[in-house]
Amino acid sequence: MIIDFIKYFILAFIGSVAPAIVINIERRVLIWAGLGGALGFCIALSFNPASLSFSIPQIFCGTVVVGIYSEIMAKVHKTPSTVFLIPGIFPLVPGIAAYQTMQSLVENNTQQAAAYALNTIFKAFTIAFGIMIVTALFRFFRKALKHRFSQ
Amino acid sequence: MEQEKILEIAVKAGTILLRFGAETYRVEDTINRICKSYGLACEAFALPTGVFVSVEGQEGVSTICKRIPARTVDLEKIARLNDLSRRIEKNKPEYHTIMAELEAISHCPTYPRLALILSYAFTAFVYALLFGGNLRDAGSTLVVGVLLSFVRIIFSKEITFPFIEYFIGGFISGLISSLAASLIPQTNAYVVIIGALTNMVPGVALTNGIRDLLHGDSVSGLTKLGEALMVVAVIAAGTGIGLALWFSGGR
Repeated sequence: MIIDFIKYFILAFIGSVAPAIVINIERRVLIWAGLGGALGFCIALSFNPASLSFSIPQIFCGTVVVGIYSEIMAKVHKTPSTVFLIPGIFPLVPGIAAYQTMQSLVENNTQQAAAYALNTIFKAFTIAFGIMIVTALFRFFRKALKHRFSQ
Repeated sequence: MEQEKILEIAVKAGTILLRFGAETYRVEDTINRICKSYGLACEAFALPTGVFVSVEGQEGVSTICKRIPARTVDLEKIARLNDLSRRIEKNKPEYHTIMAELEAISHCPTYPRLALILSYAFTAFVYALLFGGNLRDAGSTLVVGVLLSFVRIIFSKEITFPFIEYFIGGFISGLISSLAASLIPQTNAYVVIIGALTNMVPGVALTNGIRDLLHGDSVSGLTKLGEALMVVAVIAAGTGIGLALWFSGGR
């Protein structure tokens, strides 16, 4: 099982580094962005190691971890958190589910298309919501800290 | 500094951010921050396809509207512009230094072409494995990934019709994956297709659209969602036609 985790960690690492190169991430943060993606993927996987198709709660946990990681790394490397967020969520986003929706529609299989469409929308919404919660929390604490120091 | 020049800088910064895929709120924030640091009251309204900025100072009201013809994602430019806007806020540099720096940012280097091809290939390879394929599937996906990177390189030069790239990408994936499935035993054409198409499907764009919606930028959010929907529809049409061609006459 540990071997499996290491395998998926490496796969998810490559799976976030390679898209990050396509969207021209800065070289100095490339490895760190990949680690975030691998971390989020493995956290999501750890709730149910038997299956690679994640449920909504799994994706939520993975996204929150990626979000926290990105905010911390953004402070460390002095760069916007988006730089870590986009590669980090890449292994979790429902791009293929969106494609499968359209594929089912092309095949005239409306029922399956509806199932895939709901899956896509829920997953995308979950990821967006997870990121929003983390960003809001970090902003709140930053403001609270600033307020305390200024007094 | 004169009002016109401040406006010019702010709009140029906003245009670069929008062109290279920054979130809508970041574009508006950056424009506001630049104008405020020179003491101008400012309203910015950014859409995925254009930006309007209006400032009010001692010389009256001036407005600029800029269209954004094509968009890609480029994280390095966003990071460097973010850095620049913070420095403008702190040091308030001269017009010429800022303009030179903005020019440098919009032409900052990307990865070499070989790295792009390899990353397309590796993305395809890895996601074929993650979608439950075996090594044979992943091997064929690698080839399709390289072909998709060629499509991207060819179409990034001339902007003819933005969706044609996705159509041809889908078509190639559909055709080559059925070819691979019939030539190589134990290859699943479906896994090859979805592995390779991970490079093209707008998963992140979809999520960013919903992020914009949650942020209150309804118009940009819906625009991004609509664009993502069009992209998957075009990709599915491409693969559908590729597969249909193969099954009707290719065998």
